[in-house]
Amino acid sequence: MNIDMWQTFKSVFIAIPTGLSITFRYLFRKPVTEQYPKVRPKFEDRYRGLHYLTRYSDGSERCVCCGLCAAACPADCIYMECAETPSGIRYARIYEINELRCIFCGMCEEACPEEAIFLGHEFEFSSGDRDDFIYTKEMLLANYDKIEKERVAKRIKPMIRQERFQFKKPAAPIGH
Amino acid sequence: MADNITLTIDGKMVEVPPGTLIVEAAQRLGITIPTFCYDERLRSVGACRMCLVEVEKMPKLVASCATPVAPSMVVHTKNDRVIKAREGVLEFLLINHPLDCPTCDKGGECPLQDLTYAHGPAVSRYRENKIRFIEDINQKFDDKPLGPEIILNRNRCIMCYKCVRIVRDLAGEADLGVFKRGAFTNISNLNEVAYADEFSGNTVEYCPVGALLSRSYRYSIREWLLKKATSVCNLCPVGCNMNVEWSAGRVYRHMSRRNREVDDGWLCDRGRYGFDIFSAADRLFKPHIRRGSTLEPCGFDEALIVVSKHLRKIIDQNLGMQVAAVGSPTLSNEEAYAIRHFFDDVIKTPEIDFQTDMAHPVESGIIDLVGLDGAIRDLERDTVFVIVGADPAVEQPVATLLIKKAVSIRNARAIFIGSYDKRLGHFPITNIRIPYGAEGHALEHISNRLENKAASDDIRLNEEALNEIEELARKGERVHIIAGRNFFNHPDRAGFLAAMLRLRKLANARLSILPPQSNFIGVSHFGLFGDVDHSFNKILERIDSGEIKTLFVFGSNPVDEFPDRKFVLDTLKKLEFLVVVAPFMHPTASLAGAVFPQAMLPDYGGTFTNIEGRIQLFEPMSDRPHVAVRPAWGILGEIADLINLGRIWYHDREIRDEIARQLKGMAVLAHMPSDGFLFPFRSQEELETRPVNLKTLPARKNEHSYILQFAQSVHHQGWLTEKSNNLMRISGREAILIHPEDAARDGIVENQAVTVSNSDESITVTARITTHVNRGEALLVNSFTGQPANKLMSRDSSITYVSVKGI
Amino acid sequence: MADRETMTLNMGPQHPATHGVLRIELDLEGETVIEARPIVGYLHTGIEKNMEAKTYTQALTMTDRMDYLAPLSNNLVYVQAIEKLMEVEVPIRAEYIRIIMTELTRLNSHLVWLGTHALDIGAMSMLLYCFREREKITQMYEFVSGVRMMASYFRVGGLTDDVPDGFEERVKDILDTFPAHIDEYEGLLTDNKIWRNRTIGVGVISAEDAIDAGLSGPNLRGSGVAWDLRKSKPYSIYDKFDFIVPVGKNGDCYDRYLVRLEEMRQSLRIIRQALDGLPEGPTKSSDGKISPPAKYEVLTGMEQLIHHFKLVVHGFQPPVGDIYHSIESPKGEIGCYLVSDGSKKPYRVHFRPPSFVNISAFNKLVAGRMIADVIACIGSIDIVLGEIDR
Repeated sequence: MNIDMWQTFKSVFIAIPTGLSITFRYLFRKPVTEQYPKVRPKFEDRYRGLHYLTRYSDGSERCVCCGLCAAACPADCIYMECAETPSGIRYARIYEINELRCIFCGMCEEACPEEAIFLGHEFEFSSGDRDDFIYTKEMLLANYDKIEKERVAKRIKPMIRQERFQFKKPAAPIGH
Repeated sequence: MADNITLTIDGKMVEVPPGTLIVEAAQRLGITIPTFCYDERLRSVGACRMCLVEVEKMPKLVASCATPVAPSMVVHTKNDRVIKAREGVLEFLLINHPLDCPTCDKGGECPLQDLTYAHGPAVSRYRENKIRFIEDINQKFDDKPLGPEIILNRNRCIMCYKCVRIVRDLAGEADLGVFKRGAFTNISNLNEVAYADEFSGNTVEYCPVGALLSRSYRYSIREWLLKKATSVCNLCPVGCNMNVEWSAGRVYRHMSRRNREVDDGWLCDRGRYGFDIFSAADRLFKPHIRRGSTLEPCGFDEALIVVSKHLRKIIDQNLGMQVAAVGSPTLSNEEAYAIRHFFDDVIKTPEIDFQTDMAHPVESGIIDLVGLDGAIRDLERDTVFVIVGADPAVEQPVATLLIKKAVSIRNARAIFIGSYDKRLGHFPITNIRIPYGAEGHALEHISNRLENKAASDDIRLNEEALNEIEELARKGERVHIIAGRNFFNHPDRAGFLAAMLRLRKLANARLSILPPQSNFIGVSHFGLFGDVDHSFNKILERIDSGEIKTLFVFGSNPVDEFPDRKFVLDTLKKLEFLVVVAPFMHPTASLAGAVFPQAMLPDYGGTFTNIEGRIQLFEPMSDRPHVAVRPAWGILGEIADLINLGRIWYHDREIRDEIARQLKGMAVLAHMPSDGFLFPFRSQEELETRPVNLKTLPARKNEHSYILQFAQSVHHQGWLTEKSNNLMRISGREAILIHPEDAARDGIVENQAVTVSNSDESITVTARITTHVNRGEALLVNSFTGQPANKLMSRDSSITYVSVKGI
Repeated sequence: MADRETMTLNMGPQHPATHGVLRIELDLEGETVIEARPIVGYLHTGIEKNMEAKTYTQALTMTDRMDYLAPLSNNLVYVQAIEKLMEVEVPIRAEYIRIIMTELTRLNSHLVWLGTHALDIGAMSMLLYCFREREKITQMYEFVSGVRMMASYFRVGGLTDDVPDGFEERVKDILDTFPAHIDEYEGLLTDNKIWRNRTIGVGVISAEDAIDAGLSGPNLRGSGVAWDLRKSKPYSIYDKFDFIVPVGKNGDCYDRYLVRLEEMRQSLRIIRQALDGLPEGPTKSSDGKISPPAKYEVLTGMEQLIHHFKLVVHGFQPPVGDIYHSIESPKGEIGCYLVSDGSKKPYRVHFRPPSFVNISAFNKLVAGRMIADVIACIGSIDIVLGEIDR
């Protein structure tokens, strides 16, 4: 028996049954595919999906429009305009994220010094209109309200690690 | 002059003059020592300790910004001891600094941030409470408005005293001071008086932290999003260099751009905060053409076609003489040249002028004298300033800084001769009060004394002050006679000038006639000067008589400017066709047949000429948000294209190249140097003394008549600055100043609303009673177009008599 | 044979077997390839130019998108180039995690290669099996960095964040299950007659030719040259690990296949060693001027806030100079040449992408062979067009 014949023999009588046995074995195993539209996939904690803007416990928005997220953004997808409330607090009059430009790198989240912007787990936000992907401040805050509602319902610990450090007033006010 | 001192810094030898500070000596070697409180233009205080360096044989580290060099000194600026000291200083500075970076406007351009990142520790060890200066217990942030524009946050202050020094040494005011001691030291304004002097914006720009902030820039945009266009201020003739900072077609602020020859890095508040004229809400961005009785917005091409058809007809019929053009002293040199070129060569009309605010325009003998004698920098070396008929602190604030510097550091004397009192900060000056129109007489008094002649007795003057001037002039001090805005509308301008020339010769003085508007010298020398025959006044007369039927108005607003509102309104209505290039729909524009939106800085590029004759380049924004907005040469170039002459200019550089080829000595214009280029516009021949023939002084008509005079304020200059919300917030309301005796006689009390009227017209303003004006004279300050003062004036007489009545 | 003529055939740029938008101009004589000219540039995205307009940290996100099958290898070469330029000390734990993640990336890349290569040749089920295992690795990406593909997990001076709890268990899970899967692949392919017929003796390149053409990675090692930067010029902490560099003999598609399969096993060995030695400690450089402080410190400390602010807005500024750094990516030697002008943005970044160099030897592989072998050869040299065109 020369080598060629042995090879033929091996491939026909050994290799093919070996291969087929591997494929046949999977007939009796549970499929690994996810039934996505029916079953929502489970995401890791760090998954970065749609952004949301957080609020303080009193309902006021945390964002002070410092512009660090926009500065950090490699895709240049954040636009904001600043304004002042009557009580002298800086806030974002306009805060827009163009989710079509966004690359979900999470650098805005890393940059935010107020823990105001996060990337949540929402991933199903398709639309037929490009304009729908410009998320305004109200939409981003609404995202948070939705997440917060779910969080409270499921009794999960809040994600924000620490309240912003407030200066305690000294015993006797200085100045006027 | 003592010998230079040689010292060693970081192993390198340097030779500097005695008295140099270590930090300056290091700068010469290219070694940058980090500082907060040091500014070479201000007196050193050594407050921040950031500049500590080690000097061998000195036991402790020394503050290099306060230590003069000594022979064979050995300085180390980078050794371990110094680095550790810097870390320590920064750690101390940050102990009480609030965590405001995200909300602070200075974030991103903050020297404290920069130096902390460069030299400071990365980790804070401080865990205790921070000292907080609470302004309002209910507010989250401790921002306190110091004035209409400046906001102070004392928590952020690191006590460099820069603001206090700017206010005290530079502006010569006493608005800001340092209070309390130790950790509680803080800056505040005195007696809660609003802080709004003419240089307040500089404290914000040079504050090394976000303690002083501007209301106009507050919470608007981050520094790193702004693009910068190098520019030149257009609101006074000093021509301060600045950066226009803009984003997406909106100008956010003006920042100084240091030109040691002109502004030395300072900007006045008018130039700094006047940026929002550019983005005013009612600014014109679309051309308008008249359809029937109304002006309707239209496309740029449409308006161009209407105008060019009209001009084509005129050229075909050879009726160029029926066309006139008036510019404005705020136009650029290029625009002036383009207007002259277009109307002279293409339309063939000599009727071109720019002095729309004067019924008696400056004639050719005088126009060559307008400007500063010598350079701006020379001002600080003069020792006697005879300032007559001018208020440079209002008209040319940044140039006045040098007068202030001469007065405060070199003990120069500033003598103001005028019909109302002026001030130069808190610096000592002498005010010689004269009746209205008696400037020439006052100068003659001084000249007569110098020539030992008997003085005429037409006016009585402060003998003491006159003696002083005489003495100083005889001592051979450097005398500088400065005339300004009042010279141009003076009732006896020829006599005034002759008197100045005489005194100039006698006292061996310098003589400067400072124009009030920004590019007066530029437009008059680059083509817009019409002389007496073709002055705006004459143009109006020819319109009145029907000789001129078409008028082009570039940038000016004769209805609000010309000192006879009724006449100019009536006359302009007689025109067949009026084309106005205007930034706003002002009263002149609303009379027009076609209105083009005018480009304003920084829509376009070009050059301006300042008081010393320095031609300086300004650049446009690098993208053009307002497409239909063109400078005069842009509009004229396209009109030329449409009337089949071929487009003449596409870019301001082409005009500069043309000027460089055409005009003698202007070759530099083709390649503008960054710090501008000084051209001697002033004619020396005209300085020859001429015979002095003074008119008799105007007298009061009757007991209740007042001679009306006008004064500007720093923040308000006419219909253009009125469009700036920032300036309007800072500037006061319009007011009429009258003498207490007059007020008592006419029954007027302080802050009363009064009508100021001549026989036909009247305006309503607030009365202020002060002894700073003469009896029988009324000074209208801050005139607004809502109450147009030129209603009261007549082009026939240079003196306006009014009556003032309480309401 | 009177009218023999060559026919020029365009393969691609839209062709399912060219692994992206690669266009190959084939000069054919009948079914025989006379010359093959790969034409690249259809996926040009200007990544290198774009990086010049971003800060060093922002530009990191661009590197993921070059070789999108091995994003962390690209991250690694870029951050290590900067670290080399700035002489940054990276904490040891960060180095270990970097190695675990880049070796997982190697598995990821090889799995996609195997699946698509086998699919091209006709083994459909391989793709499904390979992507099944790859899913676990992308899950790991998501687990540590939050994104399944464009992880951008490494930063100059360390990592964006430490790995979450449960990292070791999940890596162990992969380590435990993966060898069996490799055996499965071997069972399906190694002795398969069709597979052998389609790959043995196909796309042969000799060791000399491979070196001359500048090939690197498994393509070079398939020809019998034991050149692996992890061994030859150890970077990071590869010198601490025990692994072998598999080499082939014939330099044909089959040998390259065997080399890659063995590399997967070796990667698992490295991961196991790294996981066993994984030390505790910080995962970011202690130099506050380069790596931003932890978020809770930003909220409490003034110095940290300032450094955070400055690093976000202006970034760090490497000294003026240039640097070349190269590592062994799954596809070969990926190099990063970086020029700094001392500002916050790179003056120039250039990558030496292995795929670009490897595809240049394509003509050598296919000239004189049948047109059907072109498919096998494209697959076996393992190219990613995102990396070639950048």
